Parts: sequence; structure tokens; C-alpha cells
Amino acid sequence: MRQGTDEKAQEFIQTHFPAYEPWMQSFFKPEMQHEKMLFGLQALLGILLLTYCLRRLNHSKRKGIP
Amino acid sequence: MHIMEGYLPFKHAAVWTLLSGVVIQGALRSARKEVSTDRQTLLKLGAAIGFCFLLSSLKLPSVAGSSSHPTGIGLGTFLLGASLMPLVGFITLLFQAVLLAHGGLSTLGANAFALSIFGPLVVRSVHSLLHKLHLPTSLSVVVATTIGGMAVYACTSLQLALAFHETSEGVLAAWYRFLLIFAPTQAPLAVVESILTLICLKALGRTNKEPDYATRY
Repeated sequence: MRQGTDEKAQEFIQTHFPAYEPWMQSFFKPEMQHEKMLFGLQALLGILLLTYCLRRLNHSKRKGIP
Repeated sequence: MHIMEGYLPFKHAAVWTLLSGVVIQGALRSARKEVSTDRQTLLKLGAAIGFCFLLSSLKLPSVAGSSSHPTGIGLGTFLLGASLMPLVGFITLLFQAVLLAHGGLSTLGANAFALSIFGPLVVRSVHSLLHKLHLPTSLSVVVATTIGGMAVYACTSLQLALAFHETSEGVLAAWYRFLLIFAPTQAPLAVVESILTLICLKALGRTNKEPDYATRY
């Protein structure tokens, strides 16, 4: 799997500023498998919300609501 | 574009959080006022959040050998203007910080500033300029969204450079080094995002009239 740019930036800081210690950690870190599912959930929520709102906006336009 | 949890020194994180917090609060007040007078604002907000959720969940491989995701700020900026976008970005970033450990609560302010304040302002300003120059609407949408997407990453790079630079090299040199990490991956994705934004605007018939944001910034 290709490395993400976020991780690349993180790696850059770790390499060039080894003295820096992150002062806060994520409270919840999903495992790879769950992370994929959660990203899928985010995409699904996005599609549902987007299509619903676009349809309602188009419907309003057809009815002549500005 | 996420700065990971804890990867900004405390003072930097606090300043960005304060700055973004004030702007997000202002956006919330404006949104409440607008929704009470125009119910369509709620639908536009929903569409903008949906688009941002969808696009920022797509981790795509890019030509530079690494992966990233589009920002998803284009559609919302064209429908709502830059002034309401801080709400859209904040909701998306909070979801990712809490549930996905992408970004973080300590860096939420900095990430929100880049994604939902600076990016939309650039999209809005570039589009206004191109609109005044009477460029075809489709072209101005694509160009403004592409530049806005890149601006988000330029802002993130600057935030990191301000926090992490050698005294000998200075902030500008560090900014350039962080830009080199993000820009080659993000440029093609910004173009993809601009085309998706245009498709959505066309589906709404928004490309053959004045932009929705014409009455506000």
C-alpha cells in the first residue's frame, strides 16, 4: 500500500527533529481492518447526505423555489 | 492534509485552536441566522458536508508514489460562500479525529484553519476574480477549486514549517521542504476534485447563473 502524505510529514518530523515528543496521543486508534470499514462508513454517509440534499435542491428548483 | 495528533507544539496548537474557534463560532451564528430565513441553506449545508465527507474518505494513490485524499471544499464554497465553510470542515475533521485517528483533537484547530477557513477563502477569491474577467463558468470553477485545494496543503505546510524549522535554515526553507512532501501528490488530486465539483454544480444547474454566494463572502 502506498504511503500517505500525512505519514510522510510525520516521518519527516521524526527524522529531522528526533527530540520532539508528541504531547498528545489519539484516544482511539482503530485497527487497519476497522479503519477501512470506518472510512467506508464515512463515504457512505457522505454519498447518502449528498444525493439526498442535491435531489431536494433540484426538486425545489423545479417547483420554482429560488 | 491532517497534521497528526500531538504533532504541533502546545503553543502553536493553542493559537490555531483559538483562531479557528472564533471563526467557527461566527460561522455557526451566521448559519443559524441564514437557516431561519432561507430553508435551502440547510440543504446546501447538508450537500457541502456530504461532499466533504465523501471526498475526504477517498484515499487515492497519486503519481508521486504516495497517497492522499481530495479536500472536498469546492462544492460547499460555491453553494454557501467561504463564511459558512468553517462549519463544514469542522464537522468533517471532528469525525475523522475522533473515529479514525486521522488528524487529532490537539491539531483540530490548525487543520480546520487550513481546510475550512483558508482553502474556501482562496476558492472564493480566485473564482470571484475569474468571474470578473468573464471566463467561462466551468473553467473558473475548475481553476478556482484546483488552486483552493493546493492552498489547503500550502497552509498545512506553513503551519508545520512555523513549528519545525532549523534556526539556520529559516521558516521559508522549511516551508519549501514540507511543500515538497505534499504538492506532488496533491496536485493531480486537486484537479480530480475540481472536476467532481463541476459535475455536482452542473447537476444542480448552478453553472449557468450567478454563483450562490454572490450575496455574501
